[in-house]
Amino acid sequence: MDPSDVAAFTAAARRFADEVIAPTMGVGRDGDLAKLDRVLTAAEEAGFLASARPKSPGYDYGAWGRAALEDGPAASLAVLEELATACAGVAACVHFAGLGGSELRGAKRRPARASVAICGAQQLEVQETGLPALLDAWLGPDVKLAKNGRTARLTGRKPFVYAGPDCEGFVVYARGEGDRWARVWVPADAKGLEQVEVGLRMGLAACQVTHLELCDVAVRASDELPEADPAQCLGRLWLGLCAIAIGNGRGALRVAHRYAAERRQGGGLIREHAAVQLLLGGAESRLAAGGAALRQVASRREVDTRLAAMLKARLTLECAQAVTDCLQVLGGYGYMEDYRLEKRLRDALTLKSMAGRPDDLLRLAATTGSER
Amino acid sequence: MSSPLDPARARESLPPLGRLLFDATPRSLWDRDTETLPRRHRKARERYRRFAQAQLAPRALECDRSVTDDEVRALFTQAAACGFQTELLPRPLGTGSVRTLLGEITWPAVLKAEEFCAACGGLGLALLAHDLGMAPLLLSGDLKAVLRWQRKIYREIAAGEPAIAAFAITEPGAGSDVEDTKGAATAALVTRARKVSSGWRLSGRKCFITNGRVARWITLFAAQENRGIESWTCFLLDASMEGLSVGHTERKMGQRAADASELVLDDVFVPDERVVGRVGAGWALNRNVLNFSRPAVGAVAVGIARCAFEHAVTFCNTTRLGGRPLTAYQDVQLRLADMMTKIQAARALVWHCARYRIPFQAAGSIAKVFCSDTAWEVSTAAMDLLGDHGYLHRHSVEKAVRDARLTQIYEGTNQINRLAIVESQIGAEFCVTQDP
Repeated sequence: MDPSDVAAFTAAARRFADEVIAPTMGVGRDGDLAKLDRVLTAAEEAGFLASARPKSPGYDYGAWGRAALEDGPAASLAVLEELATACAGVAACVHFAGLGGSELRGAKRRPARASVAICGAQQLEVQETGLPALLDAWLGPDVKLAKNGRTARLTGRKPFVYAGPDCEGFVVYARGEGDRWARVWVPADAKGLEQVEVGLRMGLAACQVTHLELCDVAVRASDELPEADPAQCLGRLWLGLCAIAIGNGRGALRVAHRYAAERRQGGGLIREHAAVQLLLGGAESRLAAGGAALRQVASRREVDTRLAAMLKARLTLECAQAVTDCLQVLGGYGYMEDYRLEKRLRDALTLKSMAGRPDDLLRLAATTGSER
Repeated sequence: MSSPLDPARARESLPPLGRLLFDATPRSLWDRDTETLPRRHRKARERYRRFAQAQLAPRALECDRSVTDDEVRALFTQAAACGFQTELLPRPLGTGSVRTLLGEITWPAVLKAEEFCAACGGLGLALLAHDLGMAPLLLSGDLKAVLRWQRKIYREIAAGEPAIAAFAITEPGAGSDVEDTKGAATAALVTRARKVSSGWRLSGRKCFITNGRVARWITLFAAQENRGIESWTCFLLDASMEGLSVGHTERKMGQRAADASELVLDDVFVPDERVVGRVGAGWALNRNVLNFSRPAVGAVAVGIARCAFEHAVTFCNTTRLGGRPLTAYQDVQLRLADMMTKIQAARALVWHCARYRIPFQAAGSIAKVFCSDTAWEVSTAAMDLLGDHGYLHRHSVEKAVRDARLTQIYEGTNQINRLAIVESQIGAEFCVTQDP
């Protein structure tokens, strides 16, 4: 896509966020989740949600569509950021569906909605050094693909796997022969697959989050996917979460600015108070710096996984701080569900904790930095 | 087997006098800190903790999801049966000690606040807000308020009734303004008191009132008609008064077990005898109540931080990596040590504040600001430490994060409290010219 196309598509995503997603946010603690499927269907029809089906509107230019693989992640990240200005949860559903779809590009299986199960338990032992070894530790030895003649079976556990609703299956990264990484399509109704709900959680309520328990799941030859670099998938996962964090922050900032322009305390509008200006200015600068860093990384065609890890660690922290500062502008109202800022803070904090502890991401950056 | 270089074992190589001067015993900081207190506070702290662990902690997660008014009232009467809800007055009027009134007035509040909120921020707030509702009666300097009303309420409580009190100052158009001198001058107040024969007629609204829905007694502040906050007067209302109703109950991010409700006043008749203190002395009374309540909010924050920390430690002690608990790993140790350090510093500040014979504005605000910011840092750090587990409700850390956030807002936002610190010390450390 050339830059003007990216700009137009981004503007369309912004309109979609304002006109389709935002109106569903007024009901319930996390928006009207009963309308989620309708919203995602609309996102698919509008071309933002990518699937593996070549005829789907988002196949080429949706988040993590074909163009993301060929031209780089900039357009995908821009779409995710705009969708997240209305709801981080919806943006996350689009993100994971897109990741799943991108893994299945060219495969025989072409579900409408998929996701990817890539991270292991992320427990880095101190002796790992070098990016490939660290990534191996990151993906975890948890799931193995064992081949016996013509049959292949998948066994193990993938914790905290994210997906949108109606997810038809997962691309699972597993240890294959010779300790290499295999990618396997596992349908959601596969015999031996159990999806264990993680239970009540803080944010991103629109996503389903489960532990995948794989107990001798039979894998057809046609479901084994060609080898691919897991580092690219991990990098896209992290960059997408960064984009969602920034969009969520921008949405919070919009609410805070509007409130500050209407609320009177101390004899005047609160936006005239230094305390409020410091909060808003702080949030603005954090989001601006984060956005600039993300665009810099997104301008490269191939995803730099190490940079993506560092951005994920740093940027989600800054965005969470920006959102909490925006909430503070609203005082007591910011803490109440009705004003929708506390939801944004819950989503921001979830984005910070998920898919990699900040400390593990920093250690990955430090340990691989010594190679330079 | 520990290494001979471990301090506890290395100590054995010292002669007896040397060993006496070297404390390497592995004991909890809670035990050590408690030992530094005078006996009466030690015993109180232990009692609060026992109650919190037995009655609050087991209910914390469930009450965060949903809690009924009856459950809150039942818990209140349980706490009251232990003497915890009548401590502002000494025996025989209440269950406090004479020392409380003679310069230790904040100690019971801060010790209780930390222990209750270390078990559950929401249930802790529901119990603690009662003292906030009662505080104007004591601090008004009006013996009638104490002997007639506070004693009466304490007798109801002693008889086993859930005579919960609430403190009502915040209004829809005046949040920060009722907690700040400059803002107060131009506060957009809607709750008004009109003088009538033998009493007053009150109309208006109050919002975000903790225990507003379950309270039987309410200390409520209203300005006189056509006058500003300088005419604020404190009235003692009760839930049975005609024209007083509970409006909207907020759905909060955290501390959910304590309701925050709107009170609607539609020409409520309040007899003269229910004026607390002097007519027109409400603003001063309000400011002084905040001087006493802000250290307690600091202690609430310390409790919530401790809750997050303790649950994170439990997780790290029980989750294994490579055959060892997570607490064996240096990066985990570093983060836990930071959390522990911050909690200790915050508690030290609260206890320092409690040592002032009468808490003053800067003391309370400093404690509140520092401790609430610390609670946020510690609880979010705990969430980060747990990774994906950090956002799961069942580990209690994400609940602590949501609970901690409110401590930076109520009792005056931390921004308002920072201004209060400077205001308090003008003429001391600070030399500024006030606006006319």
